[in-house]
Amino acid sequence: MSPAEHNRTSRRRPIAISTAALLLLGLTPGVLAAGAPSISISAVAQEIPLGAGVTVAGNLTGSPQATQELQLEAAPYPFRAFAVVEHTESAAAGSFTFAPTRPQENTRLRVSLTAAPATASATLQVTVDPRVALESRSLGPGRVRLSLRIEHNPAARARPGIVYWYLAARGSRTFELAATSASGELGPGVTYASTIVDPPARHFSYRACLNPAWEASMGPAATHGSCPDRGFRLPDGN
Amino acid sequence: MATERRPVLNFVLALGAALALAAVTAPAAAALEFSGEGQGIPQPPYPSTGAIAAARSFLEGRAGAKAFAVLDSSGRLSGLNLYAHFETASVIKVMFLTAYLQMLAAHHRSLTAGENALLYPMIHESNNEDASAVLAAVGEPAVERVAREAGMRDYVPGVGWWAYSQTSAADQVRFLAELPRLVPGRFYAYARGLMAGIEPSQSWGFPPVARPAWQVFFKTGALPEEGLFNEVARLERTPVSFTVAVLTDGDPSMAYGEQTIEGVAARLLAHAP
Repeated sequence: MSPAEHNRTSRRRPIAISTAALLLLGLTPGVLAAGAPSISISAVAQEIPLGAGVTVAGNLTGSPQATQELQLEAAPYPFRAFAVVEHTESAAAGSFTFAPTRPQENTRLRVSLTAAPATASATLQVTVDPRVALESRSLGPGRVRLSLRIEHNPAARARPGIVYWYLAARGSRTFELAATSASGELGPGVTYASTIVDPPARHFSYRACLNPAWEASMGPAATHGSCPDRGFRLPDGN
Repeated sequence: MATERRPVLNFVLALGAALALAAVTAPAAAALEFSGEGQGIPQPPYPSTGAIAAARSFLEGRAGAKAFAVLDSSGRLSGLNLYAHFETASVIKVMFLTAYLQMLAAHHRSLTAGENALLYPMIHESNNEDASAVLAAVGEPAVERVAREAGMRDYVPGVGWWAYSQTSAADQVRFLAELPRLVPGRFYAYARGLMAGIEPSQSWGFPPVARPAWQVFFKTGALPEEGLFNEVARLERTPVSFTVAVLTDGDPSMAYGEQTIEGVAARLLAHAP
């Protein structure tokens, strides 16, 4: 069998973003001044898998010119400085759409006018998730190979780390630490780890946990922490 | 096997909300975590019921009082005279070791060279003076706490000498099975090293039968004047691990007692996992 791409749409998060959801962001200080141009922007998706494009569109109002050149600026993690990544021109009615941009880590985006007066939109946070493929393969009695392949920001330095593997019989909420293994880099931006475990039951659940060096730069901040060193029990009702 | 490739990031979020209720059992936080579903064939329990029956039958035919217990790889307890009381002799030193390492961890201390000079000979050559010093350092209540934490039901402190403490085969296999939890994590490798590196003159019973196929973490104990010969062991052969205890009393000779325990070992390990 071949590992399948990790499917982001399967996540059931309270802030799940579908392709239909648009996030409209606030305006610049200049919007309050009569006649001053202002820019509002939106993105098709706020959270995307690595490699996917995010399209930023918006509206320019209050501009004295029929059309205006705009620039899309990006500040990748740790969000210290913005740099121009795209240009486009607004339509006569003020609307604009940039070509899709493909951030490789969590990034803040904003749109500004290329010419005076200095005007910029509010920032739009785009969360970029690593692409993950998990596989389990039975090798015979007492032996199941579990493997994990993660595509992450290729520019991020990745050192070998430890992957914690937890097992539970299917339906059980108690996961025991079954193995630890070292992760390695198959190539730039591709982390891999595997282990062989004795399954606790014919049907079982497993979890792989790791703390890669690039962890803080990708995915929702709420996921960042440390791996339990023995095991854990899922809260009831989860 | 097909897997559900669902990241656990959602799990983490939900976990955060439930943390106040589940602080004891749930991870304090989760890192990048991903979950899947798998299928496989669990390792059959080891040793097999047939091997345990053969060991029991063999032991029943040996002279003197005897007991043995196996906590197999699936956690099932079986054996012969599981709860019969025997004097611990030197197998209790593993409990002393555990209590001492717990004491260090409780005081956030590392192991000093001087402390290693006590613990190492206590296990490596089964030095009794060092064992007495360790017991004096930790105190009997600490050993009793280890017994409670391990779920031991038959432990009774010795009167007059620690070697006369009471135990049962069932107690000892429970204790060894819990060893990874009882020994503080940063000292566990040290404890395993001591128990795997016991000097050859003390390495009778399971080690000569099990090695090199198995990793054997063990302790022998003897009160030769009583014909008492004990051995407790934790055997590991990835992915299988189990614990075993053989307690004997009234043996006609030390060689006889050693042969009894080796006979049990040979029958339990007759077939590889």
